[in-house]
Amino acid sequence: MIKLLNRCIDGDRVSQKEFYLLTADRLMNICRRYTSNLSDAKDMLQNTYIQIFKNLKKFDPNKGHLDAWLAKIAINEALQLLRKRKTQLIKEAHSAEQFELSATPSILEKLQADDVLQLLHEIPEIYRVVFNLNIVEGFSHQEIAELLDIPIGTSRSHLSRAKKALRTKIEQQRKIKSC
Amino acid sequence: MLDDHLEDYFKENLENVHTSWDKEAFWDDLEPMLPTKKKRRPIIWFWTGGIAAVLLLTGLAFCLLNTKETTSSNLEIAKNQAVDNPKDVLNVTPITDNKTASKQNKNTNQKTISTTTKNTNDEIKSTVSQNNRIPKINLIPDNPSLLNAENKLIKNYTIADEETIEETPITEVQETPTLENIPIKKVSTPALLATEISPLLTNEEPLNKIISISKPKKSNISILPLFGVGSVNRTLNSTNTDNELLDLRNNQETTLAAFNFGVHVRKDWNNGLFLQSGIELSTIHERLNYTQTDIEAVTIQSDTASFYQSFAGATLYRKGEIEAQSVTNTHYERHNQFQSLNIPILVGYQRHMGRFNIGLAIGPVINIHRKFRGFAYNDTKQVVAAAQIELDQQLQLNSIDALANIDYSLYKNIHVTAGVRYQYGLNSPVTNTTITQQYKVGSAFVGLRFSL
Repeated sequence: MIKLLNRCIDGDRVSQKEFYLLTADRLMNICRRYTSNLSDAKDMLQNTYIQIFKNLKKFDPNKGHLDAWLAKIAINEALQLLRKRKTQLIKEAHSAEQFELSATPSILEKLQADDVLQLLHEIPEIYRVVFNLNIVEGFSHQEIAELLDIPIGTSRSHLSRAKKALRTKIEQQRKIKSC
Repeated sequence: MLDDHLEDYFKENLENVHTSWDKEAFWDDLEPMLPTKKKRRPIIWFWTGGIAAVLLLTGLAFCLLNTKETTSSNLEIAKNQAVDNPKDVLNVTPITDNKTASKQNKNTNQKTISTTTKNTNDEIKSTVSQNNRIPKINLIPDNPSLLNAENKLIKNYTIADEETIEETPITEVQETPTLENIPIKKVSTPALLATEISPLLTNEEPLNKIISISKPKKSNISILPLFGVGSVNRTLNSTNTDNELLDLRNNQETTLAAFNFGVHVRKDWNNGLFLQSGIELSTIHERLNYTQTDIEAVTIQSDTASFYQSFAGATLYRKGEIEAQSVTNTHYERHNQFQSLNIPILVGYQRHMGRFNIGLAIGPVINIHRKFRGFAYNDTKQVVAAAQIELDQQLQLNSIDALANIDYSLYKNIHVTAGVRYQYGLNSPVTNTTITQQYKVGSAFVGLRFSL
């Protein structure tokens, strides 16, 4: 893997493609968590790879695992794209209190991984982002606060609301399923 | 199960999501956008570019200065030719070749005298030492090709006023003019000097102009290290209405401190116009004091009882669980720094008033690098959070800059300069994710101006 990385740093396109094919699924998976739109996810992934190949020489294996480094770049690019698109993260939080449960027929069949993703996409974006960063990626509230430029308390309350929303949704699905 | 292990459930499932997409087609789109090896990091490019620009300007200044001094020196020498006898020979002009000499003789009825010296130098400087007020007299070869094999210098001169010289055959070799055999005309007062020497000058220039040759020349290129302190009037804009920091800033922060230092290079023209540019680092400091309210939801599980719990104005019924909130208030102090590296390009006009110069200038400021640094401190002044953002390296018009300055000639080519400056921000020094800011900076600056 080190040799492959060195060839990528040297600008060898074949090696870069090999590296891309090895890592693309995982990084696309990360991007998909942050947006329900596949086109946006591809934009995020594209920016991610540009940053990866631009900064690959800075990667130090002694400081951390490659997967974590790649994930960090993907998350950063995902957040940047959301900002550029002027996604109203905060504004959505207002309506989150009143959002109505909507049972989606497709997720009634079985709660597979893809359905869970769809479920996640049904909650307001700011809740989804905080949930992803904290629960899935393992960022602390302090780190999330810095990333999103929000107070730590806001991050905590968003997470709490995200969990509540997801729990309610799953409960709702169960009820519908049991009927 | 889902309620109890919601986090694990989502984490496991979300990591196993499979997305169908065409990886090959995506790579085809991505490949042209990937950086090549030769491509250097933009920050390096801009830093290097900025430094190179300053060095280039400085180098250009030196080149221009040296060229001008050399040309000026040659002209002065040409106007002050050596003569056998200052009383007799009034106009001595070097000629370049025989054709020119013949032509000049025909037109002006002048004669050419060839003289030979054994001097090995291209230039003989002869100074009349007994009276310092007499201008220097220089002998120079009019044509280097006339230097013969024995390293003897042959000089050709034309003499304008033939009535004042003795008739000498052109081909005859005259006595070599040396310091010893140049007669010295003694003058005792400046007035006498003017009356005695001025008529000897071929171009009849005023004496004071000739004497001023020995004074140091003023350069039209100067270097200015500057330092400025000012205040920033900032306006915040945001599409979001629920940003606590935005509210905090609107309520508490409208004026911030700004510091600025840099090095400028300035080119002055005789008509008073000048062009000034350079590189400078501006830092805007922002301090926020605020109390942060952390609200954490707490869920208490119970399998055996039902509860009526009232909070937040509503009564909730929960079987098996209680939801409550934990509220914590913490006081923080936040120190943000917005740094920008800029190149101002100013055009101005300066008026001389004795040893003072008063100038006005205006022009755009180009931003080449921006950075945000933020620190949060708790009540015990410990850093509890820090952030640094290097923003995209893009050349952009940052602001319109206007300045008024006055400088005082301190010593020869050194001036002390001070003034006021106003920058109307066109682009935010840092673009926040949710907040943009426009700013107007009023500042005072001091510096030195070194004329080259």
